[in-house]
Amino acid sequence: MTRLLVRRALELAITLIGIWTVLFFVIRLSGDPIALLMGPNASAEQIEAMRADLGLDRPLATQYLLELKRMATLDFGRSIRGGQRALDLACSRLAISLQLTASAMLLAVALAIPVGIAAAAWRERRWTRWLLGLTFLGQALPIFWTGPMLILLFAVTWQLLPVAGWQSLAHGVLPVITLASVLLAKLARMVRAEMLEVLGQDYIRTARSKGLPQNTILMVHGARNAMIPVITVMGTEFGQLVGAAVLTESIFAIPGLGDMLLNAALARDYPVVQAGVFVITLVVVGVNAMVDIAYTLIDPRVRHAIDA
Amino acid sequence: MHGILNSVTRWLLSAIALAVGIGASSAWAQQKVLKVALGSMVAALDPNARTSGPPATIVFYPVFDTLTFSNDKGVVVPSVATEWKNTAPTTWEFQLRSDVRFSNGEVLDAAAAKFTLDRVLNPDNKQVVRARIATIKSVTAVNSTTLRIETANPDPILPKRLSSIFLLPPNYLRTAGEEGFAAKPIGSGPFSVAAFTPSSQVRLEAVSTSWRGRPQVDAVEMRAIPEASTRVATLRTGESHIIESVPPDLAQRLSRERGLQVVAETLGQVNLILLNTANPALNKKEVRQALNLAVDKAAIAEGIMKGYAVPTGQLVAANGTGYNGAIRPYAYDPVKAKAMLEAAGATNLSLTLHTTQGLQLNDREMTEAVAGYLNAVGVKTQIQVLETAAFVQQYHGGGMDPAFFIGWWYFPAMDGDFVYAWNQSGMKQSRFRNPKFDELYTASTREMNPGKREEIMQSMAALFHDEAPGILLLHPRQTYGVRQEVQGFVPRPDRVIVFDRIRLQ
Repeated sequence: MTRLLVRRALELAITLIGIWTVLFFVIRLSGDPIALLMGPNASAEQIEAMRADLGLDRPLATQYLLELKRMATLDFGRSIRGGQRALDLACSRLAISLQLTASAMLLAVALAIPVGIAAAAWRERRWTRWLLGLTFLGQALPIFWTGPMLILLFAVTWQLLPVAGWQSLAHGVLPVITLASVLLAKLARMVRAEMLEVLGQDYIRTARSKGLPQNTILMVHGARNAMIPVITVMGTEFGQLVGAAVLTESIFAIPGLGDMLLNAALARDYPVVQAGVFVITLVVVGVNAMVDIAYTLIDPRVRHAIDA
Repeated sequence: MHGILNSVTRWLLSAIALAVGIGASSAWAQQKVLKVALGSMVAALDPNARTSGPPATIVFYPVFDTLTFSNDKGVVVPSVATEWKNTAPTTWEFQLRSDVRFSNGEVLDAAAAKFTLDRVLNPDNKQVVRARIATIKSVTAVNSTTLRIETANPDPILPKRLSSIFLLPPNYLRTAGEEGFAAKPIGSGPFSVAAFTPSSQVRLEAVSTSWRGRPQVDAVEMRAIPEASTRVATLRTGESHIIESVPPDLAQRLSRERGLQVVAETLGQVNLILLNTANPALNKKEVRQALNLAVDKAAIAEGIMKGYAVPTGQLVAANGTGYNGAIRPYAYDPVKAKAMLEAAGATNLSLTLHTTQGLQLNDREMTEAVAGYLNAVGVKTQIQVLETAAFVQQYHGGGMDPAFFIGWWYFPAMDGDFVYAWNQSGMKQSRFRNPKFDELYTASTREMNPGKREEIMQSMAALFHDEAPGILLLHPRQTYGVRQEVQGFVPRPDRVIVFDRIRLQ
């Protein structure tokens, strides 16, 4: 177990530095923040002076080494646009994004499990096919269509929910549904496939022959075992969900990390982009590590394989 | 790491806040809160330091004062400075009000104004608005209500320039420090900042200490809603009272809805396809004129901008100094255009038009329309779309040969100087090489007689029209969606929203 934790921590450090390095060069090659900050209506001399002030006129390699040294102390520098400490900005936006993605994940799982189990248990029935098809709709439709459509129906036409923002629980309903719809189909299919496999196992036949009731077989013997791969998928899908959250936050004007990152990337606000991506990487890698550890706790076979 | 722990605490707190959110919002209902949705929001609250132009002007004018201001028609009017005069061509004296106080009680006198201007002018302070007043040589507080400003050369538009500089409290700024001030700024305007999320939202609350009087609403909440359809939805549900930038294709439908109206004002801005006059293909005036004749500007204004634009034949609209009333837009005459191209020997012309997508409203769509018109007269035209950052870099670096779409603006000063300046031969951003134009421009920057100066600028407009270093398109009109409970909202050519006068019913 200790070995697993140490390995995870090392992997985390390498991932973080790797992503940070790639990002450092990619974003610097993609455009100049000062020209953007000052806009087309500023003079070239002013822009040069500002670049020099922020050290952006130094060779890229020098900048990289300097920043790498600073990053070791978690100092990402200050926002070029706003002047605030970049890591503070990212952390202040993190809570909202975590609320959004975690709620969407929970909603997707809460819907996918019953749908998936039903689709497996009654796979010949027409209604389960309709139900599964409905979840596919969520995956097939892009967020920038689903989001505005939900706004049009639930907020504008029926006036049941607010349009934009993150001030109350009601504000969260539409964005969480929008984001959850991305994941729902994938999870439901996964649950169904796993259930079908598990239900074909010998021990399920044994359970049936013992005369156990259908519900007990489905829930206790079937679902519990089918859940293990589903948990793994939840970990890997979390990263995708964070990406989709950027778009969701933009559509619903939610002041989260994604919204900040989008603004910062468009403005080439290097320090904020780097701090934001650092925090997201930390969360995604952290969640995956937690899933792996949870996995070993749930499934004794995995634990034995690691210890051996 | 501390920040992350901190944010976990904040998460728990905000979860509780969310749970009681609905209850709390009913308590606020007693207050008159004006809710405004903008396309973007400022990243910081130090008004002169890092941002200029909207949304900064929308957020900062309610909170801070300026020495001068522009009225709804773009004419410079008194604000903290009540009157001004030249005692010599390079010396100005401004008389200031004696009753202006910051919301913390500090007095805004000539010394405070000098402090602000000096702070902006010092290059070490890296203030973005510095360029706007770089003509100033020195500032003196003669007495508490008299401010003397010396300029290096005669500067006829100094009073207009000063409308961009927000006045700050010296003592508070010294004790709070740069960072403290940016976190909790204090101004002398009729609103103070109550809450701020960088690049997202701001809440301003009315104060009664301002000489501008107590506003008619208790608070103004502004937030960035980048998605236009979401912005429109918040207006329809009443979540916003005023929204900025209604997409033109939605404007007509929206204005037919009960309780809503769409209002618009011509911006101090011009959109054109700039042509590089140094490029061999475009160095003949006749060719550039022919390209202007080939494009139906009125159809673009109607079809793409849905009427929310004014077709033009010059850089400045009727709302700005330097407008020449005698100049009409180039007529749409593809037959003549073709003939002129043939006469000039430009029968095999091939152009690439560069454009951004979304930096200006309908930038790409308008460029595509222009390409269509040019192809129709036999000019082989292609489009290249650039990402905003790349575009701005190329613009400053002299790239994007031979042509690109650009939007130039001359607000908040509402003076043609701010667009003509970009067309001097010496500027790297300029694609126009014309000694006569350079001569006129220099003369206009030194001419202290307003009437004579206007005449010079009108000849510049005529010269620009005739030489046609660009395909002149239109002046866009800024749209707003407004709910009927809002009274006293006036759209302005500088995109500023004067909240002082707005009432909520």
